[in-house]
Amino acid sequence: MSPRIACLLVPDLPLRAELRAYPESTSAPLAVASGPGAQADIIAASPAARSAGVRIAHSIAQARAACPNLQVRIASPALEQAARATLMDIALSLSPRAEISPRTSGLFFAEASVFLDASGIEGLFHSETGFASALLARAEKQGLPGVVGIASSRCVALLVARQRMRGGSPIHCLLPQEERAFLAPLSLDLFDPDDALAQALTRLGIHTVRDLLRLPRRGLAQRLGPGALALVARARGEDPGSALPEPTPTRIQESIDLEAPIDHLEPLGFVLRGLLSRLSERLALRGLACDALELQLGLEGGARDARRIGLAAPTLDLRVLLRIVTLALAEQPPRAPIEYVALGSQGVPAPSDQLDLFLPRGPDPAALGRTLSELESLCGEGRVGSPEVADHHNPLGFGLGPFTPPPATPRPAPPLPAPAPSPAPSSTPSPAPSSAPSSAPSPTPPPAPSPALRALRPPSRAEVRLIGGKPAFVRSAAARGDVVMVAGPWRTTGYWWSEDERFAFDHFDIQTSDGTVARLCFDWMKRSWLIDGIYD
Amino acid sequence: MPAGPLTARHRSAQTPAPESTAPTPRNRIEALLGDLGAQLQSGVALRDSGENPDAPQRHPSGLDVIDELLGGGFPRGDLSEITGPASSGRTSLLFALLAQTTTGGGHHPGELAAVVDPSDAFDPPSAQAAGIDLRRVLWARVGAWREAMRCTERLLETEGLPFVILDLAPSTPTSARPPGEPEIPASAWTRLARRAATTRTALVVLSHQRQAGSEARIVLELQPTRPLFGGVPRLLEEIETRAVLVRHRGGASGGSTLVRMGSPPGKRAANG
Repeated sequence: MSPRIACLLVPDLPLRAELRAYPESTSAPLAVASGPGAQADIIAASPAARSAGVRIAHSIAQARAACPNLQVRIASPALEQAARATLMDIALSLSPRAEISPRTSGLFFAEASVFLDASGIEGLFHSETGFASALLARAEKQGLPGVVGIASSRCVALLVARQRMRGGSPIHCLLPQEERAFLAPLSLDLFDPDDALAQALTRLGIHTVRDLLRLPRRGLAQRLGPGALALVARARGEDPGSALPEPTPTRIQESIDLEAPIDHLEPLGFVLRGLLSRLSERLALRGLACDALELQLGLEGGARDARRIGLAAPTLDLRVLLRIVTLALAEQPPRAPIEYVALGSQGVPAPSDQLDLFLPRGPDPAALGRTLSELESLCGEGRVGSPEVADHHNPLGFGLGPFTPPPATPRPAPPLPAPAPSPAPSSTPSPAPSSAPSSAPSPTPPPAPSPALRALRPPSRAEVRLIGGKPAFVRSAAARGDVVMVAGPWRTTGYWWSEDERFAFDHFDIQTSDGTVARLCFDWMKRSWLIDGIYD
Repeated sequence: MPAGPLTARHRSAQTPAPESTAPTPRNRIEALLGDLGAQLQSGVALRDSGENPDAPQRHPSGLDVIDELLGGGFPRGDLSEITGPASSGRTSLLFALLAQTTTGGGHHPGELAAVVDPSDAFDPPSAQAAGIDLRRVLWARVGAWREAMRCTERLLETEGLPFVILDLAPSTPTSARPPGEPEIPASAWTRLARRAATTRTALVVLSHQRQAGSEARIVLELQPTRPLFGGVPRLLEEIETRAVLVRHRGGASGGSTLVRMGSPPGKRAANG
């Protein structure tokens, strides 16, 4: 069975890339120019601009003369690259193997196409037409409308798609037995041969595939060179490349070159919202969630500002992502006005969970992820998580790890009731009825509550008067008065080998005359008294 | 029909022989129940699902005397307050509550709990010593009360997080109300109480004085009586406090009990 290859072709990528970033220009007459200056060429134009008389290869001056209210944008390599990568994301959301076609510089320089494996899709989409419709719908949702051709090779699928660009239905599924008849009348221009070969073929009066395939191959190679042989192979529908590759994990990035430098956070927020929206949509296409953002800023003067913004939990919530990036920029503003912004993420598989029939329902992982991210945006990075006891003896130390609660475990099932004693007489004495419950494992109660400590962070400095080596009077913000009761001291030392981390404390538990029960400590490193906790 | 080896062995063990070795529907059902495990056989899940859903659900506090005073524990879907001065046992009661929630007290599966902590006073070693499963605790070290209220609201909106604690107890007596700090508006408590009711979450607010006004279903005031130092060498053994039920909407208020934090379970509490 021959493989089936689908080709999603977007005919005017520079225009679509601009409209993805500036959707407000969708209905306006818009043209994309190859560079600045009045003589730069127009390389793409919106339908409104075309209907006003703007044509590809016009200069900007000519285009403005044809359409006075024309909006002209300079082609942005960053936006085009993101749009091409989006095509790959769309393809991989529907097929396990896909490949983006390389950029072309000839007749079809403005188009972008992606090939994807369409073999065996009947089980999911019922037909190739259904598959193509789903592909087109996703592309349109991402702002990249195009056409789809399906055939048995990349070359033919691309030709089918190019043929569709001329009008009619945007979908064409070509059966293998129809390919020869489809290819025969096609113009050789659709194969985009190089200029020398195209001129030679025209000089010889060879315009279509049928004309080309009538010629002897050996003579063709001798007269027109090896390029002609490659053209013949493509005209026969033979795929020059290998099979479609497996996808590799890639970093997803969205970037934009700003028309004017931005030096305030508020206008930057609009730019960031657009970038994050497109980034989260692309991550969703790949079934990923954002666990960290890599922000790159190009600053006026050529400087770069790169930073990594971690998230407490993977999320795709646009509001949360925007708030976290804005907070990060507000905390540490860039040193100069911003000319270029790029946001990237590696992405992690979106969390999911299987509910248990017998256990209490926990939070939905996606909802919990959104909550955690939002909490972190309120509390600050590294201030939300699961408390951890530090792996050392410093009483002031603690840890905060990611909040990944273990799955709930079912409680132990009570034992089955003991079987009723047999009515038949037996020589062995039957066990006492009360023995069955006593053999049941008793549930472990939680430990007895002990006086809990409320930590003071940072510890409160204290003035202490000693009598007989024990605190007799304390004055601090946390407790004040005569020491009524005292227990201790208990010495804790550690990290004696490290100049920076070594610690040595003498701790006392005290009750002051104001009723406060506190943990008083003498820091031998700083030689000062502190209250680092209140028993409560 | 001649008896096969299996039938002979059953008979020798004085047990009734099976009527037929062919799999009947009843045999299949019994085999399926056996595969589903002891949970279903013992009827635990069925018994749980048969509980009256309209009955007010309570979070046991982990202290029998407190549960008795409150009528079963802290109510789900409602706002409760624990108030008292420093060293009155508020945090000890909170830790007992958290230990009960996160471990299920050995009788139920552990649940998740969130602690919103603007005072940054949560002490993990002390919490672990109290028996809390720290992996099930979400700790938000939030900066100011405004953010604390927002965090709490966001947590209350999250389905499946049954227990949220807002710790507004000041770190030191002087930090109870910084100069210029406005009072928390009553509307904020109304919002939190509504959110808690929507998601059936138990919200417990810890503070030095009453904060939520009439939005609190339960207000438990802790009045320190005395800490107990004893033993050789001398150690802080327990904190004794009197718990007074100041407010109990829908129940009797005014009751009180004496609670000792730190003594063995048998001597832990005595009704006052």
